[in-house]
Amino acid sequence: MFLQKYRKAGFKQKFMFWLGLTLVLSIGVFSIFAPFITPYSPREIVGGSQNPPSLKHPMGTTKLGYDVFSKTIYGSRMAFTAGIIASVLALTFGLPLGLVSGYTGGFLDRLMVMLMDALYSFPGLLLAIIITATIGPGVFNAALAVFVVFTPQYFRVVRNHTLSIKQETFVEASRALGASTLLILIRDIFLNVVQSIPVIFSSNAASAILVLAGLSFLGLGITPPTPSLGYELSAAQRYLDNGIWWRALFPGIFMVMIISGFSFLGEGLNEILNPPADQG
Amino acid sequence: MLKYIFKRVLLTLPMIIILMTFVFIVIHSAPGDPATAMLGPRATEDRLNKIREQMGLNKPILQQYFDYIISTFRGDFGKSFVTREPVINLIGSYFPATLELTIYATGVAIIVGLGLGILGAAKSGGVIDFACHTYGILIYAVPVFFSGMLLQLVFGIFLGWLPSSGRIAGSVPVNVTGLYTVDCLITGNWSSLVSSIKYLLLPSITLGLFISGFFVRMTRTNLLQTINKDYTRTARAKGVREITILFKHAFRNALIPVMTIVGMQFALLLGGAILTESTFAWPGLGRFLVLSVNNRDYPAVQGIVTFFAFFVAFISLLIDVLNAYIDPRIHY
Repeated sequence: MFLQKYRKAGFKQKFMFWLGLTLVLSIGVFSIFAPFITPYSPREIVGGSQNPPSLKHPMGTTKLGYDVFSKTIYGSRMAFTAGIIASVLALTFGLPLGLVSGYTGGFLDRLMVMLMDALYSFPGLLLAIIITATIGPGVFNAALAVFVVFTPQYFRVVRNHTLSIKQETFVEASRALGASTLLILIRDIFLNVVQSIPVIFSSNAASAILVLAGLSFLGLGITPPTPSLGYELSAAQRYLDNGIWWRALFPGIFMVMIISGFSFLGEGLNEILNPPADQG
Repeated sequence: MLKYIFKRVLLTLPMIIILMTFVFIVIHSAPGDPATAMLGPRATEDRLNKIREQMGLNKPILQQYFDYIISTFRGDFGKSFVTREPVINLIGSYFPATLELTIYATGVAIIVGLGLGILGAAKSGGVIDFACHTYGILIYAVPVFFSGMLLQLVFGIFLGWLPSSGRIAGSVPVNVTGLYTVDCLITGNWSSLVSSIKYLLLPSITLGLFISGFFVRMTRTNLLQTINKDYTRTARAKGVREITILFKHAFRNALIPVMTIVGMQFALLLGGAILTESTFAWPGLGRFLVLSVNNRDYPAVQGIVTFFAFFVAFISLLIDVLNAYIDPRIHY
């Protein structure tokens, strides 16, 4: 199915898909092999104070003499894994809730929609801030906050999709043949809804990593000694006035690579699977 | 129309109450209770009890909940633990800065978004269209604090053209609206006007570019839809020039959804504003919220977030009503 549609897709769609996939996979590889790629430990003082990029330290060093390259790679690993874990959690809650709510309808559905819409309408970062403000910063707490923020996203998409599939003839046929609600939910609806998951998952993972980075920048997400790109950037800001550009530039570029990787992947997939009408 | 507004307001109420309930539950699920969280583990039982009494934490939880809802609707957003001022007064002094920043940022987003969106739609399918689409995705992936720091580096530190933190240099204009640029215009304070615009430039460009990606995409999609409508085709058949069609026929109709886009992006805008304010030391409500979180000033945090809930609800209400007013196809 995907291959057929892929062959019909234009250059632009394919380009975005491959660009996204390449970025995501390379960050994935960096994450897995971080200890082998980085020349130093991100937690050890290995060079002089605030040295600009050189052969020994390709991204320069920090005030205390840490290697920015090592910090960046480990920070990327953290952003990548925490973002994916939080998104998977949100998916595992949002998907079944959306399925059941959309299929059964009635009072429960209306209540769920009201709840989820209220959360959805609120700025995600703000929601995440009050959660981590109460339970404290840290990788686990930040991921928990992001999970709460993104569950409504999955719920909404899955519920709307379920509503439209519910009207299809094949669902009616199943019901007429006496299939149980559970069987219809799993066989007819879930298998259809699941096709749109890669698209929403990619774009939501991008937003999740963005929120996580924002939290860490404000000092409410991932905090030292755990390496984090968002925190690195907030630290870099203190020395910006002295013209120490390398501490901000490189971690920032890696962050953009991770987030845009997921965005391009989602956009490319979406345009390949649902080609826009205005272009062939 | 009045009936529609009334109905819409009624629909907003449950949304606000759900959000307030959520905020209440989160704040009160702090390990221990807010009093211990604020004073730290070494506080004496005496002081703790005093604070608990002040904040009403010794009352039954349900009563606390209803007290919170009722007093909020009366306009009482609690008292800051640090400054002992009513939170609503603090909001009053910090909010105008946030409002000013978001208004100018929206302006930047509309200019960039409409410009690139029109360009993309006019050259649909070509290289420029491709570039505009890529820009839309890429710019969303750049966290505002990173793009803000890059702008600070280039224009503030290397070139030295623009200030990179704060809101104004020299005398603060007489307070009328709290928006410095507007106050300067009203009072004819030209030197402060120039200064406040200088300070506004980098933050509003940073925040504006961040949300412009969405504007580019929506403008492009809407334009392409209207370009293929019957009335544009008729105009083309009559021999009207392509540029006239684009601006006179397609663009006007594509403008209607811009309102909706501003509304849809509002949550993103507010979230971005919190980060932009922290990056540029912009003395707005978002930065104050982060400071309050760091001070463990729970009453202030609760008050500010509650205020944001009301603000978000009000904007979505306003946009719906305006849309119903502009677009005759919406029935009410």
